[in-house]
Amino acid sequence: MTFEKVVVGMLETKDSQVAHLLRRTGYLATRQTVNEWRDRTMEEIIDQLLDMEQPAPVPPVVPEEEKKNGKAQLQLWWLATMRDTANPLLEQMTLFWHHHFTSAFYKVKRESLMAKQNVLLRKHALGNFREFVYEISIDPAMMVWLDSQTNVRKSPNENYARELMELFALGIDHYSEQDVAEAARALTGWKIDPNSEKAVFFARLHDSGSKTLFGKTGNYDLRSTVDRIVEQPACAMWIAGKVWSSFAYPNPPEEVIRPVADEFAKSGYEIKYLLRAIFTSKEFYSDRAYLAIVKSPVEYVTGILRAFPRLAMKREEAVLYGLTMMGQDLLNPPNVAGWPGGTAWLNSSMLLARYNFAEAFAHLVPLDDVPRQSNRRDDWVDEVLDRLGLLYQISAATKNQLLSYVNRHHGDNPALLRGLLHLALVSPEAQVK
Amino acid sequence: MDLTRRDFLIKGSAVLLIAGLAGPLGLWEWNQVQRGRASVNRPILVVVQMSGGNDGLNTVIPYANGMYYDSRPNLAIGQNEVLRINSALGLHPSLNGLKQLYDRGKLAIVNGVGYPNPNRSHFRSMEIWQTAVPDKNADTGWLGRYLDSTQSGTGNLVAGLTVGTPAKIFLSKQIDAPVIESVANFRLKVRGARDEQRRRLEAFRQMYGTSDIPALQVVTEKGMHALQASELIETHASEPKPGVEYPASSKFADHLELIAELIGSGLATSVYFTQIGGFDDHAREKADHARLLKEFDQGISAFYADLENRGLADRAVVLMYSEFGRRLKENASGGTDHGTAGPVFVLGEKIKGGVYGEMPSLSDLDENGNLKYQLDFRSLYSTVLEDWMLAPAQEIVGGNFERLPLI
Repeated sequence: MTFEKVVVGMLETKDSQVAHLLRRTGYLATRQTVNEWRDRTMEEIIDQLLDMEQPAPVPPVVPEEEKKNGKAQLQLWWLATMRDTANPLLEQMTLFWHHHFTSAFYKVKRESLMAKQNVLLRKHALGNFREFVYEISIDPAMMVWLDSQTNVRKSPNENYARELMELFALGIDHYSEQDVAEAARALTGWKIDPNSEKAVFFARLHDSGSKTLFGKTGNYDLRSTVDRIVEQPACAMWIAGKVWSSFAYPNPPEEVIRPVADEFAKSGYEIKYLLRAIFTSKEFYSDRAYLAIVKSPVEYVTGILRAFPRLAMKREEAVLYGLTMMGQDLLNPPNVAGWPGGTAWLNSSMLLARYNFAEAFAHLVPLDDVPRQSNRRDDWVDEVLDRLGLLYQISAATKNQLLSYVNRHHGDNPALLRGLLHLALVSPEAQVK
Repeated sequence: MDLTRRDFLIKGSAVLLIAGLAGPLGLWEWNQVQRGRASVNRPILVVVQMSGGNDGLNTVIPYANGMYYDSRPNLAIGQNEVLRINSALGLHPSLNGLKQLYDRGKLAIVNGVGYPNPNRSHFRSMEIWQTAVPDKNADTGWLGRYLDSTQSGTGNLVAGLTVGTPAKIFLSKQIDAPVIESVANFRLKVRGARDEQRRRLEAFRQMYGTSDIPALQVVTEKGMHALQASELIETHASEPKPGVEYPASSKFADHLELIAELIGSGLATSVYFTQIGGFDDHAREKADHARLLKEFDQGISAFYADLENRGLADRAVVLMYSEFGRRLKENASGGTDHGTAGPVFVLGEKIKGGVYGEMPSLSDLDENGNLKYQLDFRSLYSTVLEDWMLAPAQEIVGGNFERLPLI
């Protein structure tokens, strides 16, 4: 069997646009998947992707004697969820929110709280942003992460209030020091009940005095503080800009973000409307967007796991070690701003870690799992690329290099296939989406 | 080829004038540098960031000031516990090694370092320290600009190195400073027969040659650089010099040990950056801070002993800072909140040890209850750039800042 020619270039054809949308929404853009979707209009595809049924996978409860291993168990569970999910966009967005509303194991420590937060991130991943902010503010892992438990009337702790404005909702320069101090007061009084591990409100620890937020004085509590922050015009812009940068291309100009932010605000901060505005915009399919996003290590690895689910978790430790070396210890971001992302994933050591992960994978993968429908060794290039979901994004130049590798290869077929897998995965195209 | 610093300055400048090269090395030396060898005793700068906002007041402690004790009923370090350096100041009891280096005249303690309109966001303040641009977002770091101004066009693949977690400090217009976690992993591995290794490397080089897709250009550049830099580091990685014991199970110490090895190997790297994290002591500060300062102290002491053991202590200067200090008044959680100015340490054989700069007043605080800075951090950068690295500080730091007589 040979493949018909795939047109590769910027996003000019319907197929390339479908493949682009699939890559960005967490799917493996194989020929088969593209063919399944191609006959619908782009609008129909987008709506279908957004409105897909949302599963609610349940994280494992780690037994007491395995607590030491709790982080690894939860990481592996999430990676398996990303690999197996019927709704990749939901996991893609859950991961986005983990990058955004960060919390890290190294401070939170309890895997039960991190697991609970993961469920919350998924619950709101495509939901309402205002409601999301309200609930994440009293999410136990977040409360440990940003010291909300010590935020009490007598001695407010500003940590959460500051990050809420700076990183989670508004961006720097859109609030004053006074806003931070006043919001901290408004958010006092929440503690984690150690038995239920749920947030509880203690009126006696809450500062019920009047506060001034963004120039408006009132008796703010958690909900009205969140409302006041979310309704700042900077909020829709900040979130729209951040989602755009993760799904379309980095550093978008203001005029591109403005209409998306407007849609988002108009919808009452519905995340689905925000995504729809991005995916339906012409700019999303522009040259500037083509391959413009560097895959995070988790995306890079889950891409491989999706393509080879049978290999998947057999070498669990190697997968987690590889991710850490690539710079992404999942559920354990370096600080509250999350992973720097973008081209920061391409620093020398992290890139070498990707290449070496790909090498180890190619070395170990059972070959009966590697496609080889054609007898012509030349055809294996396309077969391997398609299996990895890279067929629609490999440049002619890179494909020529892979073909020339095949032609120079005098070893046996298994060695050639392993070499091809390794090279396809280290290709420049495989680092981006 | 052993030049005195004065000779070095004069000869360096002469060649520079003749060759029109921007930098303290002449053409011949650059040829050596491209092969990854440092041919002359170039100065080396190691920058250590204490990330998270180190509590400066519990690091260099104003133990003679009653205000300090009044403001920190739980966190203050007792007068009989501090390691006294003069009648007003003492070091935290965890800083034994630094105290010894201070007593030997190798350590400069610079008080009250900060910048105007302090920002209390970790990320913004780190950015400010790393870019040396306090008032706007800059797209280059100060060491990145140092590399741009002194090493552009030299082909040096390892002009600057981050060991451990990277930061904006090396962001540069022209130079890509690699990031290394460990040498064993900083290489492109290919299993199998020799000819297969060659074939794959050849294919890799071809794929990463160039790309006509704009988004891929940065990937191909970075990938090629990673490969070449890893080949260079691999040829330079040496066995650790026996005789110096680094603390066990400390990533920070591991990173410093690798830096010492690379310096010892003669690698043509003139600036290194590494971090030690965890200083964000909002709660339970007393025990956490003591433990972390100890790790910091032991790592730095071992590093300096290692350099001395290799006969290289006069080649390197270590600059240690945190993005901000912490508030004078302790909070109700047994911790301290984000503050402003703090102390900076500068260590080296060529450093004139002592206490520099004025300790900020504990009674004259800013409107948020924080210390007022006494010395602009760019003064320190200017000092090490101009007087140690022999580089044009004004251009790199973006202004003329008073230099301290540290060197």
